[in-house]
This record gives sequence, structure tokens and C-alpha cells, in this order.
Amino acid sequence: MFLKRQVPLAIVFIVGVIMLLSWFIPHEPFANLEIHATQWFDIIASFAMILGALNLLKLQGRKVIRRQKGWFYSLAAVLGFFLTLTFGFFFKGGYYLEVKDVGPNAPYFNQRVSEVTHTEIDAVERAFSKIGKGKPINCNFYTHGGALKLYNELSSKGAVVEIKQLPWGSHLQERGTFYSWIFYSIFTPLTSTMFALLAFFVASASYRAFKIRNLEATILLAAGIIIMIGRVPLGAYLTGWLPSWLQWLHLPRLQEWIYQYPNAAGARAIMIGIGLGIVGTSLRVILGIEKSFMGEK
Amino acid sequence: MKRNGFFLILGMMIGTVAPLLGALDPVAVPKEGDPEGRVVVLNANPVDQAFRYDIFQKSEEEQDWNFIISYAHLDKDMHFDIDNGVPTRFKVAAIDKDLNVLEEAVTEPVITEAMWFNTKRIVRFITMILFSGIILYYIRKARQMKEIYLRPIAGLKAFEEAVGRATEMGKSVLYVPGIMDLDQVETISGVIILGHVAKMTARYEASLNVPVSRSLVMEASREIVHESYLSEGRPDLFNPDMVHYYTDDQFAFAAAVDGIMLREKPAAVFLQGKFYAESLILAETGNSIGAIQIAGTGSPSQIPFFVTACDYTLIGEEFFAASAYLGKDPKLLGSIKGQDIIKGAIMITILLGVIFESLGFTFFKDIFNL
Repeated sequence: MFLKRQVPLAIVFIVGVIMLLSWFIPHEPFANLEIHATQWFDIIASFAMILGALNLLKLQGRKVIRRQKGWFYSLAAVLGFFLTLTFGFFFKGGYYLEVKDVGPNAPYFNQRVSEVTHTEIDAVERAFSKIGKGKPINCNFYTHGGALKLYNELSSKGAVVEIKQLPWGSHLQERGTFYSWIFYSIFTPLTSTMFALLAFFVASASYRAFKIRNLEATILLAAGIIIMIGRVPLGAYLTGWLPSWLQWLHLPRLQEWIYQYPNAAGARAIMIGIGLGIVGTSLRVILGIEKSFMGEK
Repeated sequence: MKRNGFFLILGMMIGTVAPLLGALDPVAVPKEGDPEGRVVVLNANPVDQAFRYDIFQKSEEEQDWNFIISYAHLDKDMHFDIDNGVPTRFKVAAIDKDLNVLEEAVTEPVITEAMWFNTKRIVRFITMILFSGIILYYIRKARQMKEIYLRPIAGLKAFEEAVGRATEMGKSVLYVPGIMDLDQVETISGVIILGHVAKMTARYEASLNVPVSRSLVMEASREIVHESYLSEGRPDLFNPDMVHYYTDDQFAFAAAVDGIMLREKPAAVFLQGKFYAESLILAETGNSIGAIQIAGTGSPSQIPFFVTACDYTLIGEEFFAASAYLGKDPKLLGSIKGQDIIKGAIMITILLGVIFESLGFTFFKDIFNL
């Protein structure tokens, strides 16, 4: 009980107070405490990832085995997990050619490298004018066979090239590896799709918010329309003819006023409330008044 | 005549020796009043015929000079960063158009030190002490007070209603404690509120589903839900898999939670924690399945989305006060009372600031610039 209750509370108190005071003490060892603490947190969180991964596999795997509702989505999740793991740790791809000598047929070499790397011939010529100990062709192949094909083509014309593979680690960043294929061809489009849905959700949410039901909704609608029109050239065009004494009704000016004053005032009020809430919650946690986050009443 | 000759010779001697002494005469001193140290102010005199000036730096531990920057003109008070506590010299070299060194000179070693207290943050330090004192005072006072009045918050009153509705409909309660880790106060607050919601689901025997996007949040949430079920005397209803992990990725997590909403159609959805762009995706999907939705966040930019798509929204401080409201612990309620007093003080300060500034008195604003 002592280890589960008092020790964590003491750690929270001591660390909380030190971190709080460190913001006011620029001298070492307090100066970089925040950075160190963040790094410690990242390390702990990285180890905790294993727990999350195991939990994901357990629940999704169970769904597949029991053929529960939507089990095929779980199957996709499990397969995606293992596929990414395999390409991240076992099959990296990323074969490339390292040029030792362009050989006697430089125009052919430049033409072919230009085609595979999608760069201008002049740029290829400049890049391979000085090779040194060896210069890689900026094109990675998923398989050894892919690299071998280009190797044969260039070697047959007298170029001295060598097939190499990207080192572990860089295969996560470079194109032409299986991992990057998953990332750029599956993960990124899926993420973009989810993000793109936001546009439609904003439209449906705006429709509901702007529906005239009461005075507040009407004011919101009016302010929304002024902001939207005032921010595009149409706003300036529509109200450009107004005489000077009515310039305050010029839509770009009006929208700026709404944005700078009523909107900023409301946003700051919320910000002050949030700031106070954070101070209050932090104090309650540091002082051990709020203990329920540790599973205690 | 003799006297004039003496001055002539003296003048010639000074003229000959002066270049050897270094007309550049660079001086490096630590920047005064800089709490974090590190900054050195370098000054040097300009040299005739100089095309540019190269500045070099070398600490006592280093063998070679490190080139820092070239200037066309020597400005007054040039600032450079060095490591605190390490004696460092600067070398200024005047270069002519043909890139010949006209003259170069080295400063005395300079050492910077950080202060033990950042005097520029004194007002904030006093404010922190004051705010903490007020909150602690009200926490202490709350123990003696019979009843503490706090204004009713519709969103918090709806918590029980939402869980009750889910129970009546025989559907589950979905609780999302944000998408960030435990290093965010909003996540901690979301996890604390989860404890109260879990007590309600245990009491009503409603099914609870808590998808999380961070492993540490999963562990903390599991512990808190377990404790809630124990405290309500229903450990039999607790299942560790109620709290389950999906992914750290923002939109993948949003897709997973949307999937749960569309497949299981929970009757009540709680979105309590730190959210970003996925907030509207989650809230609109929850809205489309007709669930009663209660959101709460400390992310100002997401509040409008939640207000639009959810039935109730805990705005800013309401979200952080939720735990105290739901828990009814006098100590926690006392801290909320303290926060309200501070808010009143801030409002008065802002009002005073507006009045003084409008009248042209700047002393009040200057206090906060310290």
C-alpha cells in the first residue's frame, strides 16, 4: 500500500515542485530540466508502446477468431500491423547502384540515369562529372532484380557500377523501400482521406449552427457571412462603392473588426479560464488533493 | 623649441606603437541583467581601409579559432552566445579589399553565468505564489464550510442523464479521453472525469467502452476504471478490455473510433480531453448516430466544433472543474472556489488596466512587463 499510494504521491509532489521552480531558475542543473524530463517521458512512453501493441493484437485477433461484427476490419488491422513490422525489421528493399566509373559511353549513361531518376540530362552529367570513390544513382529499387536490370544495362555499355542496399534505419526514410511504400502509398492516402472528410463535416456542422432558431444563432449567421465574404475579393467589390462616411461598413474592414475585437475578447476570456483551470488542476495533482488519476478515491 | 621637438618625437612614438597595441581594441563583456547568461556583448573600434571585419571565437578548451561571422561595418554592442562558465576569447580581424589582414586583436577571456533566479519573471513568480496561496486557503476553508455554492453547469448535470439514457436503451457508453499522452493536463483531467463516468456505468450496469490512443493513458485509465467499479461494489462488471488501445496516429484513431460509433451505435458519447482536427470528425459521426454527446476540452480552437456538434460542451475551465463538481469532495470544491476568486481578481486587474491605459497612465501596464 505504501509503495502504491505514498511513494507515487511523493514523487509527483517533488517532481512537480522542482519543475515549477525550474522555470524561475535559469542556472544549471535547473536550466535544461524541462528538456531532460520530456526525454525521460518519451523513453517511458516508447516502452509502453509494447503494451499498446499487445493489447491491439489481443483484441483485434480475438474479434477475427470469434468472427465478431466487423471482424474483417480487425483482420485488416492485424495484417497491417504484421506487414509493417515485417517491412520495418526484416525486408527493407532499397537496392541502389553505386557508380565507380561512367565508362566510355557517357551519353548513354547520362540518358539512362536521367530516365530512371527523372532528372535533366545536364544535371546527371554535372553530378557524375566527379565521382570520387563512388557515387550512388538516386533511384532505389524494391528488389535486387530491379537493380540488377539497370546494372546489366549500364555494365554492357562499359560503366563500372555496383549493387548496394540501404543500411537499416535509413530504409524508414528513403523511397524505394517496402516500408516507405506502405507509408507513402497506403498510410498517407488513408490519412489524407480522413482529413479530407473534415471539409464535409464542417459543411454539415455549419449548416446546423447557422440555422436560424434564435437570436444567438442569427447573430452567429450574420457574423459568419460577414467574415466569409469579407475575406475574399468579392467582399471588397460588393462594398467598394460606399461613401467615405460609411467606410466602416466596408466588408473587409467590418470582418477585421469582428475578428480583432468581439472574437478576440471571447477567445481571451476562454484562454484565461483554461489557464486558471490548468493551474488549479496542476496544483491539485501536485499537492496530492486530486489522486483519482492514480486509481485512488 | 626643445619642447616642440619633444612633443614631435612623442607623437611619432605613439603613432608607431599605436597599431601594435591594436586600434581595434575589442572588449567582450557578459550582457548585463541577462538571467540566462550565455550572451556576450562585443565592441571594437573601426579601422581605416577595412573592407570587412571577421569575428572569431575560442574557448579555453579549444585549440583553434572558430569563425563566427563577417561584418561590413562594426556595429555597437554585437551580441554572441557562449557556454556558461567557460572562459572564451573573441578575435576581431580587420580585412582589406585584397583580403589582407590589416589588423587583428584578441579580447580578454570572458565568462558568463546564469542567475539563480530569473528576475525578469518576478511578477509571474509573485502571481504564482499569490494564486497558489488563494487556492490553498480556500481548500483549507472548504473543510470548515458546510456548503460551497458553485454555479450549476448544464453539461455536468447531463453526465448522469447520458449514462441513464444509455442504460435504458441497452446500449453502451463511449468515452474518449483525447488523443494526447499523460504529459498533457487535459488528458489527466479527461482520465479523472473517466473515473466518475465509470462509477455511473457501474451503478447503472451500463456497458463502457474506452478507446485510447496512447499506451500510458490506457494503463492509467484501466486503473481508474477498475477502482471506480471496486468503489461502487461491482468488480464483477469490470473488464480490463473496456479500455483498449488502437493507435497513436491522429486520423487512424479517429477512423477507429468512428468505426466503433457506426458499428455499436453507443447511446452516449463522452469526448473529454485534448483534441485537434479530429474533434469534428468524431463529434459529427456521434451526432449522425443520434447519441447524446458531452464534450470537454482545453483546446480553444476545438471548442466551436464541439459546441456545434455536441449536445453539451464543457468550455475551458468547466472541463477542468468537472472532477470537483462530480466528486463533490470539499477540498476539490474549495480549489474551484479559489479559482473563481482569482478570476474575479483578474477581471478587476484587466478593468483597471483598461482605465489607466485609456487615461494615458502606463505605470500599471509596466508592472506586468517586469
